[in-house]
Amino acid sequence: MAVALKGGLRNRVLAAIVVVGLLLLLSTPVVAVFSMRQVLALATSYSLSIIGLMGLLLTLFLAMGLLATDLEQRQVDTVCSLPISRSTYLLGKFLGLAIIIFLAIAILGLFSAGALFVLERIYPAERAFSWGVFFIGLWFQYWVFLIVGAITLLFSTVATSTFLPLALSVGIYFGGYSTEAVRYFLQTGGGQERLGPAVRAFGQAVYWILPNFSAFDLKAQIVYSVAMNAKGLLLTQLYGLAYLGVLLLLATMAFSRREFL
Amino acid sequence: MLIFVVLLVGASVALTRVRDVQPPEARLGFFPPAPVIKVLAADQYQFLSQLISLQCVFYFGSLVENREQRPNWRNLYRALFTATRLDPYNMDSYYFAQAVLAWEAKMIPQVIELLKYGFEHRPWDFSLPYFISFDYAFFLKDYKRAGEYLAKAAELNPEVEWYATLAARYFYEGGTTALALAYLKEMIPTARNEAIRKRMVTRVAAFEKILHLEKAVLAYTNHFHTEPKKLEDLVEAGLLAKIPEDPYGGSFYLDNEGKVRTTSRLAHGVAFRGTKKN
Repeated sequence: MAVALKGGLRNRVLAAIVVVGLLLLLSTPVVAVFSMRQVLALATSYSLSIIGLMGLLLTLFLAMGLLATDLEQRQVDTVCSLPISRSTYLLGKFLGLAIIIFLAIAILGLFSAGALFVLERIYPAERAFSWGVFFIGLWFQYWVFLIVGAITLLFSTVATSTFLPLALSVGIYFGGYSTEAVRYFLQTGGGQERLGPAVRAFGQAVYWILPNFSAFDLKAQIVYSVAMNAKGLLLTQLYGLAYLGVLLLLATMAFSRREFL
Repeated sequence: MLIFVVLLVGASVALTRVRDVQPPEARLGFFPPAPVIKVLAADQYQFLSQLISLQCVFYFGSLVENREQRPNWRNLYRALFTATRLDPYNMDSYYFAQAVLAWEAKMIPQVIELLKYGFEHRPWDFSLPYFISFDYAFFLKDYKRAGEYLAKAAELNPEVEWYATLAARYFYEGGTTALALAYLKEMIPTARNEAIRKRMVTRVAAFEKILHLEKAVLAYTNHFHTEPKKLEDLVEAGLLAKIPEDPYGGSFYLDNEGKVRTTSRLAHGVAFRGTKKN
């Protein structure tokens, strides 16, 4: 974990995130004033969009480098000779990644909150803006990145090229935000009529296998103060925990069996 | 290095000139259907929706001063439709549809459909039923539905007293000009976009002149027990110093039913060859 943390910090990732955060702070009011009726909503949406984009790039960038560097530079041989299991090594790496992503989201979230705090004073929200919901939304956004990071790590343990884990993780990230909508469509009359049973079964299978990132998306609740479903949030947290557990378990199993030539 | 910098500057200037003369359809761009965008945008769909509505505002703002190039209303409507399907809470889209598509493009059924979709998702927002009620009353003359939606708006925001004024006017078709004035005067202070605000101010100026003419027609009818045949009759009777100018560049006239109309149809650059008495 400490090695992964140091590796991440050596990349000056957090310094870069602070720069992005400053840009976010300065650009949010500039973008938001273009709105005709919902300045604060546009500002919040913009902030969440930038945090989402930065978080994804950071997660992919760091998660891809977690094993790739060690494998390429043969440092993994040294690690294997140490009195720690491969599973501990891998989980430690992931924990380091999780801490860096958490810090990055926290930094961006705080810069964003600063901009929104000022804007809220100038352009009051049409419905009460909740800071609690804002930070809960960021927390669930963080869990999306944890799962994407774990997926990248899992693919890195079995892949021999660095491109494949990246491509698959990006594909799953996009797919994860669509599976719920596809499932809803399959349940409609139009979906039943237009699609054959095989396609419908495939759609259902994809929904159950891929992570359902729509459940982690609380943007409407943050931006428009739409009511949150406490039970839904609790189940989403449990789902995220379980999904992450399965991914990390599969990754450690794959990594333990991998042969290093 | 110098060669590349010169080439870059030259190409940028030339490219800007070419882009500036694009037809209106090309300026707004093309937006794929919302489900396609949603799949490709992952968690960015909400901000994309707002970007699309901003794109509509910029597009309209860039063409509003240009009387020769009229916006492509159908593409604007499609863009707003996509924006609302991506983010059904996006108030900027509904507001723009009401402020621009209803008045400028007269796409009333489409605008009402958009607003109703918005009201389904924003049941707390009194402005959406208020817009719908106004469109039903002013454009479609459907006072029954207008009253229903106004009641919904009043229920959500009972403190605003102008609802009572509007509700009363819905029962009198003759009050549509005053109705439009009341509506527009309410909208202007909240209009943050300069292009839209300017349009509203011009519209208010036009409606004030129409109201002034309507009052003179009424005074003429009451005094002479017959309707004036043309607006010049009002000047000859001493009820008006002169016929006011239409801020949209048209000319006011009385139609076959004795109603005050204008050749501009309250829009810039609209040539209307309606039946004129005078």
